[in-house]
Amino acid sequence: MKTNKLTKKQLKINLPCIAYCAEEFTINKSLANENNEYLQSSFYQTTKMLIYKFRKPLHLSNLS
Amino acid sequence: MILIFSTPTDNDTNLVMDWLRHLNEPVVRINDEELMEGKTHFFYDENIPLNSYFICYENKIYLSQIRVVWFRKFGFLKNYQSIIGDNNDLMTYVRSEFNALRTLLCKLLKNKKWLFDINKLSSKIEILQKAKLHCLQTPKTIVTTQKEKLTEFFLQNNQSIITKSIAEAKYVNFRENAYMFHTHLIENLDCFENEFSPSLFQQYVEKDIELRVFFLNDKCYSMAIFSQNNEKTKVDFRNYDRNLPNRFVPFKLPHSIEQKIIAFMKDINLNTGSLDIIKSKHNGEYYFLEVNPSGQFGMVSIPCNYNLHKKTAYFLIELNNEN
Repeated sequence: MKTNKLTKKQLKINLPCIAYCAEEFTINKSLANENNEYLQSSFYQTTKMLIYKFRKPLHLSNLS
Repeated sequence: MILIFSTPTDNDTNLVMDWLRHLNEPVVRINDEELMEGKTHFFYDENIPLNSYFICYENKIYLSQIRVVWFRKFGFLKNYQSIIGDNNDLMTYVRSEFNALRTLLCKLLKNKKWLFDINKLSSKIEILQKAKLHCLQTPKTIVTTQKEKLTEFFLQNNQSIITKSIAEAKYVNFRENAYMFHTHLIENLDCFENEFSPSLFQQYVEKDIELRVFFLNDKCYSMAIFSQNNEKTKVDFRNYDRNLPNRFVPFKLPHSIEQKIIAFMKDINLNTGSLDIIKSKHNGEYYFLEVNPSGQFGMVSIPCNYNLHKKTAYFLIELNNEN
């Protein structure tokens, strides 16, 4: 949902111009979803690494 | 042994890892989050630095065993950010510690072969300069702190310019809100004060098509993105329109442009990267915009059927087998 932009008046300090052009988005469900997606993806990756641990190729078993 | 510095959710790393496993190639992946959480162990040996080691999923890997390093995406710390928040001293401190550790690791490994050697990375402005030296067209660019200079540039470029970050485009959280600091088209200068922080401005090049070129080992894999006909994506296709996605198709760059890109990438010490290029609607010229050495390439590989994860895995193996 688009609302407004950052302004010098509001911030009282200069920023790069891109800050005054960027549209504000209210933090909403999409960010929560993003976090969930992150956690799911992280879980998937960790699980995969654990599976690899138990099914280590020979060259990796020899290293530990 | 191949070492990959990555982050848990990078799908390009996952797919390259799958190929390396399939090809039975020794590889270890160090994720930023797991290293910071101490789940991947690290020990620094000050007397014999190459005896420093990681213990990752019960494998102890000495730095001396590593021959090739792929610096993928290393330093996102999204899990930390989601738990302790972004706008606080603790997060700033965690990032600062991580960055120092990352610098140490890169220095310790500087004599290895690299797929993207971050030690040699130039700034965006230097990269634009080098692109010009190699006769690649680039949009006219200024960095200024003065509205007066900005106005001059605005008028010289038909009142059609963009602003973008000097460093990286970012999604910024600030006081309960979020802002997209991506490329923005400037149509008037009313919202700017007479003075501002140093800001980068470029001539706006109207696109015929937008190209994303994945570069690997002197080869260009290009994809055309038809972003121009969609108001939401015409300035920056990363303002994704999820209801009406842009069309992605394979594209062959002219041979002369590919040769310039190869020479340019060699000059800036990059053996991989994702280049953003625009074909101008007005003169048909190809304009180089920027290169991201850690850009996502699944988004090029999958629609264009380039098999880039397999090619990346084979290139890492080639580096590992070189004398």
